[in-house]
Amino acid sequence: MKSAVESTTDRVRRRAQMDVLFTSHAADVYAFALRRTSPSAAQDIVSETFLVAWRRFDSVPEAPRPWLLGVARRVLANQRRADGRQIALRTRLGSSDPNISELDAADLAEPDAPAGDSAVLTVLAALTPSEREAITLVAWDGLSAEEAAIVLGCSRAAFYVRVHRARRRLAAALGTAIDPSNEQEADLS
Amino acid sequence: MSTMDSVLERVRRVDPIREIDLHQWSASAEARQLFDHVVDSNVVDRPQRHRARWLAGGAVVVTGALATAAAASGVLGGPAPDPIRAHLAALDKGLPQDLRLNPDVEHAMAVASTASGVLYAADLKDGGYCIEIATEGDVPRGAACVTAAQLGDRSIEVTAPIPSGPAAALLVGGRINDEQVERVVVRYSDGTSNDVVLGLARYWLVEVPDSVRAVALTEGVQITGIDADGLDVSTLAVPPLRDEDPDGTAMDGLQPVFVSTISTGDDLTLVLGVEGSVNAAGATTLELDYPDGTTADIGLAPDGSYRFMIPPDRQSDFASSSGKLVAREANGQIVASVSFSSVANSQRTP
Repeated sequence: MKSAVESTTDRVRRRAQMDVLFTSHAADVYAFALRRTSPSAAQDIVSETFLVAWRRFDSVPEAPRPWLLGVARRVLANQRRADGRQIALRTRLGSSDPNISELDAADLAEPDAPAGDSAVLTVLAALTPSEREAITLVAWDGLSAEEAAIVLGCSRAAFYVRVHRARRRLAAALGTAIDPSNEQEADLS
Repeated sequence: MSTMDSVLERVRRVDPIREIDLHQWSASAEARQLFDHVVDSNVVDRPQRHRARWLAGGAVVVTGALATAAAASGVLGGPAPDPIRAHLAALDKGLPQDLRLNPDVEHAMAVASTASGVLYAADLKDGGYCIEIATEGDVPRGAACVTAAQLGDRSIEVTAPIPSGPAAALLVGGRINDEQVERVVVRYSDGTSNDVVLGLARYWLVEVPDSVRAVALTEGVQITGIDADGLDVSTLAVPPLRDEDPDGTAMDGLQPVFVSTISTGDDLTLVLGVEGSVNAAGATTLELDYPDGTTADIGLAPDGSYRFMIPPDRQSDFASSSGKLVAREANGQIVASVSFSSVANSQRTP
């Protein structure tokens, strides 16, 4: 006897597939969350994200990473709405302080950071949230433009605009630190 | 991105995440616990009332449908024959009181029929119901139950027995739960379809025609509920009707730690033992973690298989809590783990 919706085989198969999905992408989701919130909250976001994937397993696309990060982004937004927090970035990894401060212009002037790094962090903090999100999805999460657009729920063209503005503002602010001879057009396609 | 300009490179260098931290987290017990929490959340699982393993006379056997030879009653509204009533009543066997559905088997009746089978139904006190398709006389082919709380989530309830043989009829049956749905159509992947004749109280049973038997066996069928305006209201995909894995073991080797609990049909709150295999690379030891935090070592055979009988005084530890099997490398690092509990506890809905 096999129930139409559920059978032992289906359940075992789904669990095994979920294990593969988790093993392949949990670190990506964790990294995404950890860059944007505290370690303990990051684990909650990973948990919530994969619970959504587990509930909607049939909706997970074949290339799941952008989909998972998009879910994680929404979970993060919900969490922040609940907490009444403002969007922010983590200043550094490795801190065990669960109340680690969120990134703003003041936090970015880290005394321990190399001077160049500190300047980049300061400029990053000065970007608009949407620009900062666009540039970090590419530079930190390693997404293509198409994948990042999926995460953000916007068109690829809209994403290009955001990342282009971010790069221009960063380049202008860091101009003296950039060697023009090494400048080459990023391939975001 | 394949190349990165200097601006992006500068941003990349201030990435607060270090790869080593991610690797450590991925391999941590916390991450594995998180996975277990997700898949044990049971959010997509329904109470499973088939294919439980019982310990009978010292041997593990897989239960099948009860075999009887009584003649089928094809009269709608007629009482369910004894084998059907017994099978429906047996759904609660071994379960604690709070998990019993207590179908009204005394008043179970035929609610839909075809030339090859009959659909029987028994009410639940809460407004739900249990259904069972009988074929080849009065052979019960397995039951499905829907509680009142589940009715809202299921526009159409569907049950489809695996055919008992190559010549056996393919039957799909169920009930329309959604008031919007006026009728049901069975659609096949070759583009053809069957209108379904409803039986009593919006129950239905349909026989897959021989012309589409092959596609139904390999690709399943689609059940669509249609409203009074002729619009599709809901669609349910029924998996292939041929069971490629009748023992349910095909995926065992793909799990880092596969566990099967050994139970007695008389009391499904007990776990008499666990058996299975450790498939995670590098695992050399296996540990049983009881819900109270105490542990026991489980011996692994050279092929990774194991079988461990739980001491009688600990067999009830998993009645309402989960235990865990933890596989480690020789250096003690956890490489995989899996949670398990009694059949009764696994049937509890969140």
